[in-house]
Amino acid sequence: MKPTFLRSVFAGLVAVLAVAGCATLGDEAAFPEAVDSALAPFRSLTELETGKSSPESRVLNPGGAFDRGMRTQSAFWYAGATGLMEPPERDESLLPDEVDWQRFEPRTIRRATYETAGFGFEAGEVVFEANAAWQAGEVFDPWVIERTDGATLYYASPGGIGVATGPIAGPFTGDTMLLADASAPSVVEFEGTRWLFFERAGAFGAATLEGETVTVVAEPLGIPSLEPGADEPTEIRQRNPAAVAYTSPLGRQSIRLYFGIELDDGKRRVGVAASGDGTLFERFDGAVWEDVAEPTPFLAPGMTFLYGTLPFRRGSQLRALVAGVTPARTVLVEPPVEP
Amino acid sequence: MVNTLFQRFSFLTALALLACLTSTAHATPPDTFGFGSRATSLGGAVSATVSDVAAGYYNPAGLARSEALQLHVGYFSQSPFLSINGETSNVERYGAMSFGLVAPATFGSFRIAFGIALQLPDQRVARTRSAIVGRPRWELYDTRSHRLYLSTNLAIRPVEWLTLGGGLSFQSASLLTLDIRGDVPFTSVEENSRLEHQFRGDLTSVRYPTVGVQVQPHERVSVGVVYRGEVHLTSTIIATADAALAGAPLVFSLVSGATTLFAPQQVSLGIELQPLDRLSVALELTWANWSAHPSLISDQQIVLEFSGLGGDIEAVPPIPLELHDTFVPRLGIEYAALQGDVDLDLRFGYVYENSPFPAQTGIANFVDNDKHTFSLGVGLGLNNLRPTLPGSLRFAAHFALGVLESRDHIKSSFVDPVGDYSSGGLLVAAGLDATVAFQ
Repeated sequence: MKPTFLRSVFAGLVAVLAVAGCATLGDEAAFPEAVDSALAPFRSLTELETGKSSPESRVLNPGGAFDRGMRTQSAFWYAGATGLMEPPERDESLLPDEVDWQRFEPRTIRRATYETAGFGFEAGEVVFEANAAWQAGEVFDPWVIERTDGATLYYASPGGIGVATGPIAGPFTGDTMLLADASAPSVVEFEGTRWLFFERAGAFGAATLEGETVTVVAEPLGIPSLEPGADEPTEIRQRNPAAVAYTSPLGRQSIRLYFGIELDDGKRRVGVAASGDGTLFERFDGAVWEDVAEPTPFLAPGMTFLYGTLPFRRGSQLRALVAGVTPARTVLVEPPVEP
Repeated sequence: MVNTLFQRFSFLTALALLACLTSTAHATPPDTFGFGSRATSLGGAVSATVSDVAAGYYNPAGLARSEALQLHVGYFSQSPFLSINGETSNVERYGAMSFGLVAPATFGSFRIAFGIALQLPDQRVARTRSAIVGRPRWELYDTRSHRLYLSTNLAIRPVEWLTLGGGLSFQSASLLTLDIRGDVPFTSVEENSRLEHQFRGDLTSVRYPTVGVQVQPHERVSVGVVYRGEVHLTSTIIATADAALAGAPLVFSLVSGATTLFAPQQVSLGIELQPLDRLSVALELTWANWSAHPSLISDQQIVLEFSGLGGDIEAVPPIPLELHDTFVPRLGIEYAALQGDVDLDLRFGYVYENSPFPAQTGIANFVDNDKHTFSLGVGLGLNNLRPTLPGSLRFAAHFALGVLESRDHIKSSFVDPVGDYSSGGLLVAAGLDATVAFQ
């Protein structure tokens, strides 16, 4: 072999290796993608996402008083009432931002369809109202289970939790009481069984449902309170549980229970606990969603929406139906490109 | 004014948060990627007979087997295709150039040799990236070996069948110090604040030993034993602020120590047999002391006092990793297809590395999987090159495929914010090097 050829080969190899070695100098790789179970914390939806303001995260336009609402694949369900022409004096024992329902017509359950753009809903239509003596004239806290051939509505009234059926878009009929003196029903399918979670006598409970037969499994559920840090308010009451059945990427099921918390400084927040069997719950000790009450979850691929109520403005005694999402970094609507 | 004060001290908050972040676990770059195409294509099962520049890592005793002055240059690249829950993990490609020298000297039957081995990453000399606690990270691959590797070794061959060698490898730890002094008034903050800061960064050298022996009881049998010392690099951040806020004394102190690199001590035992003139088969078993790995959560001491009030701030406690020792089996097969003026060697290697990390069931998320690595290689030697070259020229190339067994991480807590996940993927590597041996 000629010497020059060998020298050229060796020199070329060194050059190629040097170029390859320097070719990507300084390249930066992205950080690993986050893996998130979409449990918490939630961020409020923005005006860009809802098309609304005061507050930005509200999903319905003002129109009377709103109560707890929940979302299904086809619609948003909530309880509402219009104001009385001559309302009585406000009950001063209520929290400053709590609705005094005595000043409104009896609550009815409404169904609101999705807006064509954004993450809000159109004004709802009444799909169910009180129709039995035990309901004491009003119904609220809707929880709807949709099927291909119709829907089942679980609701609360002053007398307890009831059930009604009808087409997916309503109206609903029926006056069966499932559980006396209970409220805030939420129903989930968990490991082949239909579970009902509720609030009664200041505590949460869990029951199984077979048709209209309710079997209470655990009451009270005993969701632990969190120890406050220095100079932090203390939790004094847990309200309005709402459950969702979550399946992990590995196929493991659990029940997540979101609920409202009242604090000793008059403020509110949302808490969450989870269970692998529906009765023993572990509390999440991080922030979930501040200032919001009456939470109800809705699972979407890779994210969880949480709906709740928030005063329209500071000092307001009417509450807006609002939405939040987790993971907080979720981008629902791309911001407009500036020209 | 409040915003200005917060801005001025926000970097202290950032430092405190930084201290809460995790560091990364690494082994040294050759632990992960090998050194030299020949050794890598043989699965790293070369401690019994290695005699080129790669001996600086695999077994320094092999340096004294070389009869020629060797100069080596090479390059390899490894691309990871790792995913969690089917989503790519954005683990960076790693590539490095390798350089080396073997310089033997013979005095009668006694031989002594000196070697240097250098592996230089093609992107960064050193890199540290902190990640959020709880965000899953491929602990042994994410920025794992963006470090320079350097070793210097000495070997002797007192008798024909025995070589002994040892040396030192080098890494650097860092010590970062930030001092802030001055005062911030209650009003006209922007105009009247007097703050001075001073930053120092020191890189200190850490050395760890490698010693080995090669024994050749028979012309067709070689045995090698190697010990590599433990490497534990730390990064220390010291931040102090001694200032006056509106005349009241403000004292802040943060001392954070984190492990930025840990390579376990290792013992390798290898044997190579030559059942046929052209066929060599090597087996090797390596024990790695991963159970000695310190926590990857930084150790912090934080003090904040204002006007004499305050004191120690409770920091994130270290989380034990619960790693376990590993035994890594290796297989290397080499066949000399051609011999003479042109040598052509075909190589195959296999390594099984069981992960030292347990399934991540708690709040930590240091992801790692058991791995099978299959490698193929080819060597081309050009001999009898005088008068052009008073020696030989050897080229080696390799391709390696690492298959990570899928692994499920099921959290013990149903309220874990990360939740259950599965991990898996592939590692694809290739390399090329050239060695000139001067007789």
